[in-house]
Amino acid sequence: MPADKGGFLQVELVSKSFESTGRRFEALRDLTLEVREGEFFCLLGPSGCGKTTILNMLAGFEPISSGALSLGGAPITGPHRERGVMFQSDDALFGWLTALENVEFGLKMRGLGRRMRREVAARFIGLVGLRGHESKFPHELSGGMRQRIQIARVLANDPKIVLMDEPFASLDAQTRKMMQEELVRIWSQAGKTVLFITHDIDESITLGDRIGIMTAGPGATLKEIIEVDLARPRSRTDPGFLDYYTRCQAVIQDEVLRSLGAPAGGRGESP
Amino acid sequence: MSTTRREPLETSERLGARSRVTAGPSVRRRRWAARPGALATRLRALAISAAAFLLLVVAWHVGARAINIRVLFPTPADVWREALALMASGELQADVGASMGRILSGFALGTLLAVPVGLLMGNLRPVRAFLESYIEFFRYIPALSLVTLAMIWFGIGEASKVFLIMYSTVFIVTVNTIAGIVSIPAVKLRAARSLGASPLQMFVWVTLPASVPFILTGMRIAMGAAFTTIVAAEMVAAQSGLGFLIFSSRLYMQTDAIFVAIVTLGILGFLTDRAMRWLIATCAGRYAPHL
Repeated sequence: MPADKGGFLQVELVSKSFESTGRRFEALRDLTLEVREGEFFCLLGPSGCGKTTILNMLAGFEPISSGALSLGGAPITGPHRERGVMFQSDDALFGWLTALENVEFGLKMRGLGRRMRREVAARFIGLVGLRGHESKFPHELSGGMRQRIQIARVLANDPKIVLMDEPFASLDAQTRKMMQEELVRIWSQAGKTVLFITHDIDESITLGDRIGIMTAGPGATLKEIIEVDLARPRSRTDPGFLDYYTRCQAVIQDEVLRSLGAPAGGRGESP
Repeated sequence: MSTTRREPLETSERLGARSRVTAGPSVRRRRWAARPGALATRLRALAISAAAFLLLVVAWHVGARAINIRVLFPTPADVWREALALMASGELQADVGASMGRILSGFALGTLLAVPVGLLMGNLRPVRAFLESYIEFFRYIPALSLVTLAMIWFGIGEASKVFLIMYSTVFIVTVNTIAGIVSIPAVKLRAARSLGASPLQMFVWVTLPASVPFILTGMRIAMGAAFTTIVAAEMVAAQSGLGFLIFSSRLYMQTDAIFVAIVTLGILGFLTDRAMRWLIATCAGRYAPHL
């Protein structure tokens, strides 16, 4: 397990337990993980392994039970704009604001002037390919376009790291594929550190510099890290891609089986 | 609305992504208002409404003819003549004015009280815990049961009627405001926080706009309650108003006039709701595109 000091995002021996109806449930046990500055890190795991729990703690939405979390050396204590979050649900958008106004939101909270806001937001609307849709409301846009707004909104706020929680999971297969390609393009232009959570092996190999594979819950932790040494954009039909697929599949298979065979009563991963 | 709204397809997204020439930084348009093709749909809806209304009048006429006792059940023509007579004397206008004045002032006061209370209750758990039992107790006590008390406390003047309307408005709007706040998806609040919003900014820029549709719905329901209450309040003690018209006509078996008041109430309620919807669409359309 790699734990070289100086990782940009540090997760050290983090555990998380929930108390529900008098019963204690341990979602994560002694998770250690580091994400390097500028890299695209995918956290891959079977459903119910606590991936979303990790993200919620990194975002500052939920406290950790024990261990330590830090970003750039500073401990994580609560939500902060330096850790941008992109959610799976498009409920995260503000329905009464136009696409452009959604993207401006963080800048407005920071007190930036209207003209500056417009300028920055317009640039990121362009980056995610939504030019011409600035004045539309989220309900007038398709699911893929709504997720593009979320990407632009997070990036316009200039965070140190972007946390993505299965952002394409509720899109149809075609749109998802396209959005993955788009994300690779946007990421290479924006140059941000990304922690991307997914249960989809394909997706993690398409996107990630490194893939951290989780064990099944309860008491989930990191099982193995696989470095993906493939040039981008990556093609699913590339022999190298298939090799990685087989490797990931082999690691995750046991965990999926364990998660299926594990005694019921475990907590779902989404709150 | 839903039939006319086009769901954008993924292909249009592709186009948007590729062709950068489409519509420049267009000025903010009122997209929630009329869309192309909406006119035909609206005209058809209007025609259907008109036909339904006409059918009602015809059925009324046939029914009244069959009974053929004017004092029991006047025909539409009888009622129309009576309405003209009441308008010629200015009586009907005065009654409408009196009733609407009471309704609107009571409704406005009730809403002005209910929205802040609802916002406080929705946001602050202790306030909610404290006030919830009051709300749950009083909202099941109908305004009608307080008519006599209101007369004793506030006299037979305007104050007692306005109080009753306010009473019947306030709980509906409060409960809906709370429901609006409670039903805001957690991810929306989390998104705002992780974008850097402070608690106060969250309230102003997320909680408030997100609960507007619920507040407006509450206000529309409350307006209906206000109409129900006004008649009862004016029947007991008043010198004007549509309730008074009904009650005083009863003494002389002027069924025609009673019908005039009833039909007028229906029309006023309909128009008031339309006016509210129009106001919502023009002033707050972006907060409640589906209302």
